[in-house]
Amino acid sequence: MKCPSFERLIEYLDDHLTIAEAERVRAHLASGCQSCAASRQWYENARAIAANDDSIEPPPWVLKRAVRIFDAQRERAGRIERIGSRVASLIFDSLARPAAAGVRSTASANRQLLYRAGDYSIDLQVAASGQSRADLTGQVLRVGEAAFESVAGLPLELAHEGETICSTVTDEIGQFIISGVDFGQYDLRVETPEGRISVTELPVAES
Amino acid sequence: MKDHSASQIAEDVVQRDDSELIAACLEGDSAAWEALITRYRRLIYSIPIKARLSVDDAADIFQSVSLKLYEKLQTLRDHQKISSWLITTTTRECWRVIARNRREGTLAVSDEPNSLDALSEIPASGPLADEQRQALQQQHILRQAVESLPDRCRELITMLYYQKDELSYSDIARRMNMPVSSVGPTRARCLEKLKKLLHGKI
Repeated sequence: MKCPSFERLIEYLDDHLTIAEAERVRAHLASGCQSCAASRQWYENARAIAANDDSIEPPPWVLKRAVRIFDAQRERAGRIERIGSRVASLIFDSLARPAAAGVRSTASANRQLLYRAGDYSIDLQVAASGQSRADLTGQVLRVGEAAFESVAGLPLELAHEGETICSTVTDEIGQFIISGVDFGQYDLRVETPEGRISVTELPVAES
Repeated sequence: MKDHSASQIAEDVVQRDDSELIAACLEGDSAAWEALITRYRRLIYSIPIKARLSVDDAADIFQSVSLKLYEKLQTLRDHQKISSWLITTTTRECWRVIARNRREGTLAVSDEPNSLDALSEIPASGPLADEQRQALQQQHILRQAVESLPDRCRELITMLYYQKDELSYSDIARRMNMPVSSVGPTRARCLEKLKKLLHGKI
């Protein structure tokens, strides 16, 4: 007998042939046909794996939730990469505040300046520390953030006419100090996770 | 996130192997991620269930393993066997949860009917026996190939070989809306397609 068709071989292996038909296939296999033996082995192996398959399908919501990971993680990363650099706006200057009528205004030792750029604010105090110098203290804050994650350890640079005067880093609650700054106008640059924030024309002067 | 029909996912499964899917994920292809998780869903989920954990615990493990997979995409890109990594990682997650359940006194035993076949139970600790790993991988490989078959073949093969109750040719013919005499030849053709898809892996 030449090789039975694949279909016939399978019928044989599934016991679906008549006794006479089955006998002919059995004899052929017993004669040592390699290709039929290989087909037989393949089929019996595959059939057994399927029969013993006890894998379990997860509920659709479990699968969906895992699929969502991808876009959710990328969205988070994207928010961080999207913003480039921006110039902060001055939204409060204690020097610009009009004195209350009838109150003798005393020169305050400190000048307070508040800048905002996007979700970040930079709260600055300029305190004269000598005839021609001041200490600059400040805090970087991010809107809606209670735990200071985005504002801790941020690199800061104070520059005057293009030249970096001082580099520092915010502490664990976003604060920083730059002491002994000569009076003048400065640029302050903060590198946040979302990009650089620049404060321009920062006045360091006698209050 | 696009909603993929089963056949779209099947197409992805056919066209790309694991490392291609991972490379696509790393380039931001969310469909590739969906195809990857879908491809391995049974492999991952079966392990905690067979370790007798509850559906909730199994679902949490599924999520944490998926998250780990996401985080490790770059590392796994050149990995030889994702299935192996997934089995190891999922098994570890099971131990962690089982240990936690013990500490908290939570008797989170599944009420799913589990086969008590020695080969199918996942131990509470210690690595999986080679036989268990191999069984999981082989089941995965075969299922994945079946899922990559054209729709009719996939239905037929699933009906013939993955149902617990044996169906007669006339049952099958009725469900598949084909003449009884077609069942045999169609099956043979589908099996030949399946054999090709397996590329000798089984």
